Amino acid sequence: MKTFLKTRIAWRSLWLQASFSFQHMQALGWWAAWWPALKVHQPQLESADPQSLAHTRFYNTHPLFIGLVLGEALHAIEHGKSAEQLLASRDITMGPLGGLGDALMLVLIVPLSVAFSVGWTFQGSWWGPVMFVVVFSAIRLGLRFGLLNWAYRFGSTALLKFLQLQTRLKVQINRMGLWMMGVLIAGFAVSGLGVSDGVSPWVGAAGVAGIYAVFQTRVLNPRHIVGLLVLMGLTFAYFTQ
Amino acid sequence: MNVWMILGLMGLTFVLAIDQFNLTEVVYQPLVAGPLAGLILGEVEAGFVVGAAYQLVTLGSLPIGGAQPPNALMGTLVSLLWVKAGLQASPLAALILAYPWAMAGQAAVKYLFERNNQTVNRAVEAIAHNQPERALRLHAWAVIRLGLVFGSLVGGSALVILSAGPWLLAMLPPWVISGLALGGEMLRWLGVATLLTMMRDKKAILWIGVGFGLTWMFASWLAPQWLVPLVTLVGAVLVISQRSNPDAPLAQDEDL
Repeated sequence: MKTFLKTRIAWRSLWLQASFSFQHMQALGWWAAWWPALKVHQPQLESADPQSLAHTRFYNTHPLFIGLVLGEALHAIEHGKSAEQLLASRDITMGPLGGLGDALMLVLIVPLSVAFSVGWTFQGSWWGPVMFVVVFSAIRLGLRFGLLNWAYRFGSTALLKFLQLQTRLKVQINRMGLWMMGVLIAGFAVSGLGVSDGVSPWVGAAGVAGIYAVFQTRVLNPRHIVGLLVLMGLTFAYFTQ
Repeated sequence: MNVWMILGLMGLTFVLAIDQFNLTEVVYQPLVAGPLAGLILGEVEAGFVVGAAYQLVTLGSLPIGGAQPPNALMGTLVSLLWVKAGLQASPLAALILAYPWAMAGQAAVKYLFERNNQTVNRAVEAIAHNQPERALRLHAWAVIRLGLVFGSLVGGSALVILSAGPWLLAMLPPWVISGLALGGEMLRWLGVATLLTMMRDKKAILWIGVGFGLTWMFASWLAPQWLVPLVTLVGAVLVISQRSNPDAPLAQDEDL
């Protein structure tokens, strides 16, 4: 029964951002995921009850870690915490987990999935997309279900334990991200200028470094750089036609 | 132009647009969406090339805290429409031609998130009136609407591009196409450079150098689809074997 409930709210949490809005963010998504748990613990509860209505207030975190928040909440409701206590420990997850999720996604999870798949995709093999989906989903669903069970066990201390773990691994995650950036730049960003055969890979490396340097000055935004690159390509093609 | 092809593409778009923020959150990414759309349009090879290249472009631009980058799904699908319209020889030129559509997709997502304010307000009202089923229906409707908007945008673009595109591309001199293709190739520099700016801790810059150098050194010995995962694994082993610091102070919110 408990496993069924956990699976059910984990499945519903996959639709956390279905009705994402700038005003409420994931409020309705949270309520939709949490409603079955409320009904199991208080079958007589009506949705207009303040206990349910409180769950429709503003909420936003990174969907990567919603399993942790749900597990904590499940632990809280089973130990008879009130809706306000439960929501208080939910709301403090907004800041830390939101920022951490974005950073992990950008620095680690997506580059890792890309490193394992983009080479095959350039070769025209279906193995590439399959690897991409498998690596990414293994990490994401592992975090969703794993963190739900883990946080359910540790209750309200789960967030703190998780942040301590993350602090210990911070340096490693950053090094891994940087290592993969180097590998990806050498493997795919710098090589393969198919249109102009004979262009040295050094040009590519200089290009990446140049754009990075331009970003540091904060004068141009990515849209300007797209325009600049197109202009450079057109100029090059015109004079070498 | 084939009606079934356009309907199939619209159906795929409907599913992938929903997938952008829900469900798997991975199938919509260019690396998967490109080959899938290529399969429907009969341009599988270009689908792989465009998908992989676009994935490298979007590496540094995922949605952060609800802020929307140019829409990668829209960009991928419209790129393949341009390929179908006659860019088979230089598919990467299509990345540039599709850029305005990526911006339109970004605007569409912003509009829908704004529109969802009312939908959620109505759902909360329904919850307060003891109609949980109605609230869940509104929750589902919000995401179906996202799929429908994207589906019709791509369907309309397909009609325009597949009918007027060949004529337009025939008018362009060949150096423009090869210039755009070169621009499309160079776009991936922008992707990785954007990602580089996300790396806060510049003290660890040595790691990027070693990873880069190792890959570069062996590039002529091993094909990249084997080399890159291999060097990534070497890096993972090296990183894990480093000692972690159990006494480090607790992280400040966004500092990774």
